[in-house]
This record gives sequence, C-alpha cells and structure tokens, in this order.
Amino acid sequence: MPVISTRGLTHLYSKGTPFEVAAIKDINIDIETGELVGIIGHTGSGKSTLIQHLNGILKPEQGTVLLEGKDIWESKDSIKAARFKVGLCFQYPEYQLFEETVYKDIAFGPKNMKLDEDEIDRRVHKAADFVGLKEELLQKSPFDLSGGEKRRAAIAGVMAMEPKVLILDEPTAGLDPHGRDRILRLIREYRDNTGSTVLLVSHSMEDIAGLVTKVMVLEKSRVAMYGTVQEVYSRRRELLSMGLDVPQVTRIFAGLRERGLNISGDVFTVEQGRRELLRYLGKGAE
Amino acid sequence: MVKDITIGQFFPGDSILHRLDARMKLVLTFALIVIIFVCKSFFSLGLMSAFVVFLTLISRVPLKTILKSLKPIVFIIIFTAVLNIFYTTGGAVLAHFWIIKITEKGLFTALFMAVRIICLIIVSSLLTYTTTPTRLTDALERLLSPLKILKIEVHTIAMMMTLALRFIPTLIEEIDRIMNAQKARGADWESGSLVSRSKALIPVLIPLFVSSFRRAYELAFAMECRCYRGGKGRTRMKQMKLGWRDFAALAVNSALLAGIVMLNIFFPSVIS
Repeated sequence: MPVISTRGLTHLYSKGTPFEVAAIKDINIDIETGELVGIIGHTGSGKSTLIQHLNGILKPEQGTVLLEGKDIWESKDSIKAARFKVGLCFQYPEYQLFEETVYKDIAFGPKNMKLDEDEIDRRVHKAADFVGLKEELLQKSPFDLSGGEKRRAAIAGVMAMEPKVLILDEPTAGLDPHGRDRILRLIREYRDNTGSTVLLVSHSMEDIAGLVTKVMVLEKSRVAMYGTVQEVYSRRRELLSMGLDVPQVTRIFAGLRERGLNISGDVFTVEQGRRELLRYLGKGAE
Repeated sequence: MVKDITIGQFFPGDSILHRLDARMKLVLTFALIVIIFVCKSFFSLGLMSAFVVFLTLISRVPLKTILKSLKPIVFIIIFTAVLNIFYTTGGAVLAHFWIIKITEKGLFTALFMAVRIICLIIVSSLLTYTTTPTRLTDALERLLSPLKILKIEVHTIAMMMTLALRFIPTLIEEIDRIMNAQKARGADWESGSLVSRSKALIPVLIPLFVSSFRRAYELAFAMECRCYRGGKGRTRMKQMKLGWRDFAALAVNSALLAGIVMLNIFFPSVIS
C-alpha cells in the first residue's frame, strides 16, 4: 500500500477574485514506502502547493490526501497526527528558528508531540548528530550559527519528529556547492538509515539525478511524468518543451552517441559517466 | 485569515477615478467626508448616498470588493445604530416595554448614522482602491510640502509611509510562511487557554522580528547604494499634472456641496 496518495487533488488561489489561478489541478499520485522522490518543475508549476497539502497545511479545494490509506482531513486528531507523520521542511527553513538555544529549537517539534523529556533529549541529540551539529553548538543561540549550520539545525528540527515521510522544499537553495553536497548526502543517508520515505523538491536536474529513486515532473499544475530517473530523463524532448533539461553530462553522452560512438545514452551523473567512458575505452570499471 | 486584511489595497483599473490626479483625489475625498457631515436632512443624505453609489459605479470596482471593506466595521455600525435607537428620544413612540422606549426619532437617527458611516467608509476605501499607495504618499508629500517651512521633514515622513505600505503585503506573506513552518512542527494556536495561545505566538513573532530587521538593513543598504540622500534635490519620474478631469471633478464636488446645502435649507428633515 502506498504511504501517501492523492486523489483528484485541486487547489485554487485567490478564489472568487479576478486573480484566481489553479495552483494544482486533479493530482493523482501514489508514493510507496521507502521511496526517495525528486519533485521537479518550473517556478509556479505547483510544487510547493502540492507538498503543503501532503501534511495538511493547506486544505484541498477538491480531492483527498490519503496517508496510509486514510483521509488526513477525517478529523481534528487525524490532521494533527498527519503533521507529525509527514515532516515538512520549508524553503529557507533557517527563518523559522526562534528559540534561545539550538537545542530548544530542535526540541520544539518533539515537545509539541507531547513526548517525555528523555525521549525528546534522545531525539534532539540523534538529529543534531545526524546533521553534523557538534555538541557544543547545541547550547548556542541559533542566530549565532553560520548560514549552513542554521539550515542544518532547522532540518534537524523536522527530523527530530521522526516522521514517516520527510518532505524538503529546495533544501539546498542559496547554499554554496559544498553545503549543497553535504545536505544532499545527508538526505540520502537519512532515507537509507531510517527507511522512511523522502520527497525532495528541487529545480536542479543535476542535484537529483544521482540521488533519487523516482522523479516526478510537474508542469502547469499537473503531474506530467512520474517514474525512475531513467524513464523520465530519457524523455528529453518533452522535458525541453517544459523548459527543463537533463543534466549536462547526459547531454554530452547523448551527443557522443549521436556522433556514432557505441556508448550508453543513460548517463545521469558524472560518476556513471566516468564508468561508462572507462568501459568504452576497454578498461572496465576500476 | 491574515490575508483578509484590506488596508491600502489597490484595485487595478482604468476608470475615471483611477486616472484622476492623486492630489485632487485626496483633497476631494477629505471634502466629501466633510460634506457627509454637512448633510442634515434625509434629502441631502439621500443625494449624498446617490453620489456615493455613482462614484462606486464609475470606479468599476466590483461591489463584492467594496463590501469587503465594510465587513470589519459592521459591528461598529450595528453598535451605533442600537445605541441611537435606545438613547435618542422624541417624536411618536413606536414600541414601549419595561424601561425601553423606541421612538420615531431614535429610529431615524439610527438609520441616519448607519448610512453616514457606510458612506464614509465607501468614500475612503474608493480612494485607496483607485490610487496606488505610491501615488497616494507622493500626493501627500506634495500637499504637505508647505510644512517644510516649519522644518518638518515632509519627504522623510512620506518615504516612511510609502515603505510601510509597501511592506504590509510582504510581512503578511512572511507571517503566513512562518506560521506554516511552525504549524508543520506541530505549533498550535487554535486550541488551549488564552495564555497558552498567546505563548504559542512567540515562535511566529521572533522570526518575524528577526526578518523585519534583516529586511530593514538590506533595504537601507540598497537605498544607499543608489545614492539615496533624502528629499534634497530629488526629482520625480512621474510628474503630477492637473488636467481637465481634475477640474471637472472639483466642479462636480462643488455642485454636490451646493446641492446638499440647498436641500438642508429648503427641505429640512423631520428629525433634528
């Protein structure tokens, strides 16, 4: 059974005014447990609106959101439970930090779950350790941290709730390449270690190519494609018409293939490219 | 919920009211507010209401939007109406039970007051609906410029107002965002006692203050980078010019005032 599904999910903004626009239209998705899904789409394609429905921040205009087969809007309790089961980390999450210390800020979510002190303490340390925040940073003010540390502290705040589904909206926006790689690696490890489902919103085809198990492409408020990296990235022509493109390395290999080299066109990361080139040159992998 | 606030909301359009010079509009709005209080009889108030309806029609702002601006003051209207019904006495007694007496005059006064307040609100919201905040503060700056003689920094005040108005939607958006982020972490300000509810606002207010200060610094920096030095020697991209429309509006307004004074004199009301 899929952990999260939506049926006919539709949401309108500024309903009943001249500015009315459909942010998402008739979305039907099924996401299986343990999947790491990359959600990609142009600005305004409805990515953020979609994910805000999955934990009940936004109430659907039409349609339903099913969490483990149950409608999250069934009752007041079910919606509260959904907020904890589906952890949502917004874009630029460092702007949500508010407590006196990093420790207290990470503990905010677990505290709202009404867990006991020991459990909260365990979770805070685990989450902080996981995102690589050193013990001594926990007693500092979150406003004294560096940009990258703030971002990781905020992500830890969501991870500490130990949600079954973790959703991150552009977690690497505005970070330097080093910070970006670190966050992406973290997300991968988190999913591998905990077996939870992770949804990652991104606009970088490069970022998600080597990371995710499935790719969802949103265009004009609808799901245009949903499948494995290979399935989606091989439809380059369609992606281009949506203003998206496959990673640079894929383009290079496609180009080599067109020029008659007996080389695979299914290369999505630099690492895959390296192996494919070595294979082609007859040296085998490593 | 926070998105319902309509202060200073501009409704894009191209009507005659939209095209009037902001200074003239500002002056005429003040004049209209005074004229509303000049109305002393039902006939003059009737003329005034008709004029307000006329303005609404030519502004081409949908009725729904206008009614939205009335929503927050419905309570005040009802409250003053009820007070007037019970406290004004005179004329024939319409209903009498225990110590409460409803008289003809009370009822009329209540109605009169309600219509007056509604006219007031509609006239002032028409100003903000048909004028962008920037033009409004520009107009205010020009109109207040004589105060410079008294060493009042008119330009700075107008700039502050422009910025404040400019940042209302930004801050509302920001509040929405922070609230959502904290809601996702299980924050709850919809249940519990008043104390716990106000405590639950701390996670929203602190990030809001932090980001407001950040924005203020960034903005000041950006303005300085573009050599902003206050109002001295500053010229305008959009020069304000009074045209025939503005004088026509002035004429219509004067005619209205004359009409209302006449009605006040020749058709005095049954009440007051």
